[in-house]
Amino acid sequence: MISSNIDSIDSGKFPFLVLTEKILSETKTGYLIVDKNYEIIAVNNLYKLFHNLYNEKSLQVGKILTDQDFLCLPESVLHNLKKVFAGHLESVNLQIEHLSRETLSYKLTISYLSDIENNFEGACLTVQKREIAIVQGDNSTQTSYHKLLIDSSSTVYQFADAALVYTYTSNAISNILGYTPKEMNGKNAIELVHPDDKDNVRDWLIEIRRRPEIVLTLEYRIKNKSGDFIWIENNARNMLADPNIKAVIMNFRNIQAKKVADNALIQSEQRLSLLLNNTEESFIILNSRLRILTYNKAAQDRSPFFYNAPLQSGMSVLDLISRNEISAYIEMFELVFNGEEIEKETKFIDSEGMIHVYSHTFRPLFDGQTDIFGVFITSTEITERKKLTEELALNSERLKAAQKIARLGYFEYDFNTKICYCSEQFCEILGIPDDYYSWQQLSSFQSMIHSEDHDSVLQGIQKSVVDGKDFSLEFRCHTNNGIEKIILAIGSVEKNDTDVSAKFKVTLQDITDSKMAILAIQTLESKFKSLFDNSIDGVILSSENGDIISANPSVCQMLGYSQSELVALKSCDLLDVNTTLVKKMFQIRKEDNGAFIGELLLKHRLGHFVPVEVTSISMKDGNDNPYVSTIIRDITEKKKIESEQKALSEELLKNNQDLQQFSFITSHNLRAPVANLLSLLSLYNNENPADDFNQILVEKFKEATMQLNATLNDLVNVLVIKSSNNIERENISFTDIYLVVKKNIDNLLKQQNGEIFANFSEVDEIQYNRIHIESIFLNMISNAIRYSSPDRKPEIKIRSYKQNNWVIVEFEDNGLGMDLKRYGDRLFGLYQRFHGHKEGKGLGLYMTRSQVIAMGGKIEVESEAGVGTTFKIFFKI
Amino acid sequence: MAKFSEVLLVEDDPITILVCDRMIKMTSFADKVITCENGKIAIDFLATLESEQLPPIIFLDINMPVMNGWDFLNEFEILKLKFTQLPRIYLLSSTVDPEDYKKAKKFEQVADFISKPLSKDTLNEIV
Repeated sequence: MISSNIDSIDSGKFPFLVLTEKILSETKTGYLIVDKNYEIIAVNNLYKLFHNLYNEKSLQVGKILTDQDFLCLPESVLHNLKKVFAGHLESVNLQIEHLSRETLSYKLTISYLSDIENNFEGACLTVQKREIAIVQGDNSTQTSYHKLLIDSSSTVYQFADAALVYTYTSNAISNILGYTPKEMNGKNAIELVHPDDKDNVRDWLIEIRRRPEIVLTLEYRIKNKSGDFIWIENNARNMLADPNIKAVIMNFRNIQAKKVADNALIQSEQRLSLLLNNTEESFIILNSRLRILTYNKAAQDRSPFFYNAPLQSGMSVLDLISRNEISAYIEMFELVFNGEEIEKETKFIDSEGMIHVYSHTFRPLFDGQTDIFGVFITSTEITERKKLTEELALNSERLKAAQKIARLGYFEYDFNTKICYCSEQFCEILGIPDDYYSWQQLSSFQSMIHSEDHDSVLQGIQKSVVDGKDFSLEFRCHTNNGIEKIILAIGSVEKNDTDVSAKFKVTLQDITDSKMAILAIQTLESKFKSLFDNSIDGVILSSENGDIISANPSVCQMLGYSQSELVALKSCDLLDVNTTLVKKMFQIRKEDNGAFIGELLLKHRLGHFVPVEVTSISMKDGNDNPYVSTIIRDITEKKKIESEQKALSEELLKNNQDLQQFSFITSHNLRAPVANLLSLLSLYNNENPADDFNQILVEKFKEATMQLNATLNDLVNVLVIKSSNNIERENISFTDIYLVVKKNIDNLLKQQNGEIFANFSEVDEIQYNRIHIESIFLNMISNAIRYSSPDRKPEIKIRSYKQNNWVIVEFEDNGLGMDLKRYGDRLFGLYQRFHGHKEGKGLGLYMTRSQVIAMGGKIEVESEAGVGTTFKIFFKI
Repeated sequence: MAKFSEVLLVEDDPITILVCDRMIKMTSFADKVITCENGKIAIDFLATLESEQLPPIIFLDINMPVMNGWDFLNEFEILKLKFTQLPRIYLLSSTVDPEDYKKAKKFEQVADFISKPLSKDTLNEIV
């Protein structure tokens, strides 16, 4: 029993190598076998290590060595190798130092190899570290150093003499066997060996003595100090011929543990045979003529493959196969006999109609290395597995399709293997090329996440790791083709039994489009909201039957309600339903599909009405429910301005009419005397100037000219009043004015025997233009006297008082009075006269009114024919 | 023989009265000129007459005290119901207000609008 590991032998091409290689591999020897063409036939790792100390290029079987491969080695190596090939040398030993003599030293042996049977000729190079040489080195400090190394080693080194009696034992012996080196030295190598192993050991020792320089290994049991036998592996080398050593060098180590494992293997082999007959798997062994040699119980029971007949040793397997399949099987068996291993699936339907699928493996049975003497068939029912596989395949197809349809990408990361799995759709979403090997780094994906979202994504995942719940994250992602996408990732972190994160699984969805749509809607909504909230116009949304759904701040302010108060109302609560405006609105809405644009009055919370402009449209929301959107604009200001403008334009119109009237009247009054003059001229008797009538005409001519002059003067006065824009104001006392005026009309008053009662006690002072006031007082008083009743003596009452923003001066007389219904509209007109018997020119009241108006005041009159007249002059304060 | 037997002149301005009277007589427009100083007097006078006594032509001033030309015309609308035969009325004025011309057309009795001064030619045109 030289080897327990014969399977590791390389190539059966040169059988002699098997043993050589085996032996060398069991020692601490590196070897290289080359043929005469320098082609490497075999090489082990130890030699490779040695080679690579000097040479960077690695060695492998089949390589042809060149001189280059020997460059780094001492010249003697190639030189001696050539000598060996040339037949000058059978074998040569060389010493090769690396770095320094003390640290690493190798012994290289080049031996000639030949195998006439296989027509092989070559060389074997073996290499060994010169450990022993170090032990025997002459430097005492180095010796003790190496001795320490050896002593602390788990390997025991021993020297034996030619009689195989130990002469030296390293201190490691005490750790392994418990003996001291002293106890060991002087003992024969066969002593302490387990009785069962003694024959083997003896043979091994004989072989050692017979074959110098060869390392021979044997495993055997040896008794330790406490009397137990333990397994050791002993490597021995006959170096008796070496003049430096002159000993058999042995080193052994404890292989008890390895041996225990070997025993376990043997036991498991026994269990295997037990298993063979208890397993579900069927075994059938055929000989080279396809006759059944043996089979196990499973094969017998179910005959899974050869269903035609029950199994029986000696029968041909072909008898079990249906005829139409025989030729196919024969072809297959031919392949098996050529050394191939073949797998085949078969299907059959049992008596109950169940489908059974079997997988069969046909292996050639080798006798020794090359001859195939039979076929070993193993069969397993894989119906379930097949079904599962098919289902799995189907499912994975379905999954793939589903992913594609849902545009759902799947990504998996294994924390242990550091491997990512990305589904096709995942790659498509992120724009990753199909060969995503370069993407199998988690960091590649991290870098795709938008920098602003990076932290939130990490936090989300970390949270999921901590609480074990699924995460759902939305983030922006720069895809590999430069597009920014919004991604929804849902996933989880799976943990293994020890609560360590094992797998990271996530589905990925491109929600860019929907997100954009949502964003657009949100933007729109927020825009609408800000429009709704900030609009100056009021907005009310109401249901079809008028319930107010929502109202914006503007309308609340407009109508004095809070938002909640308004929402509790109906639209009609805000309207004065019975007004024509509202009735009109309902009418229009009915005719115009609920749309209405117009002006309305809305009820303010405090009860008054606010004039508004309303645009009301019937609309439908997203769910097709109708609602009414009403935009309300407060037009109070507009209305105010409108009415102001109306008043202004009325006033302007009136002023304009006034002016027109004035121009008509003045032209009339100028034309009249001119016309008179013209007429008088036309009647003048030129032929006879002494005509009596001419005298009359001249008289009249004088009169008419005077009349014209007076008219012109009057008009000039009127124009002065009308055009005076900047009238000077001063503090004026009514009493003072009255006294001045009274002086002027005293004569007239006395003639008429009239009386004036003036009372300015309430208001006496006013800021006004003196001339105007004097003129007004004169006109008022003189009119009162002039149009006094012939039936009674004139009495004039004058008083002043305040009313609102006016100072009012009242002139009350007991004169003729007049029918205001008849003359009211002309009373203050230019050249309007009402009393035929007086010399009035129809200018006074017109002048008075003009003066009052010029100062921003007004004049009112009350009168009754035959009773008297009261004028009220309103002065603006 | 004058064109018309009588003319009623409703006019407050003495010079106009004088001139008109002289002109009418010189051109033999009418044999007799009756003058009223304002509308009120004229209406009161007309009210005393029978149909056949009515003057065929009335010259009417507009701007007069107490009752102006328009007042007269309004009153005459009522008064005329009692007459079978009505005079032709000529408005005689120096007005330049177009409203006055429009207003004049509303009255059936107003035959024409004569701008002052009254001339011989104008009188000759009235037939």
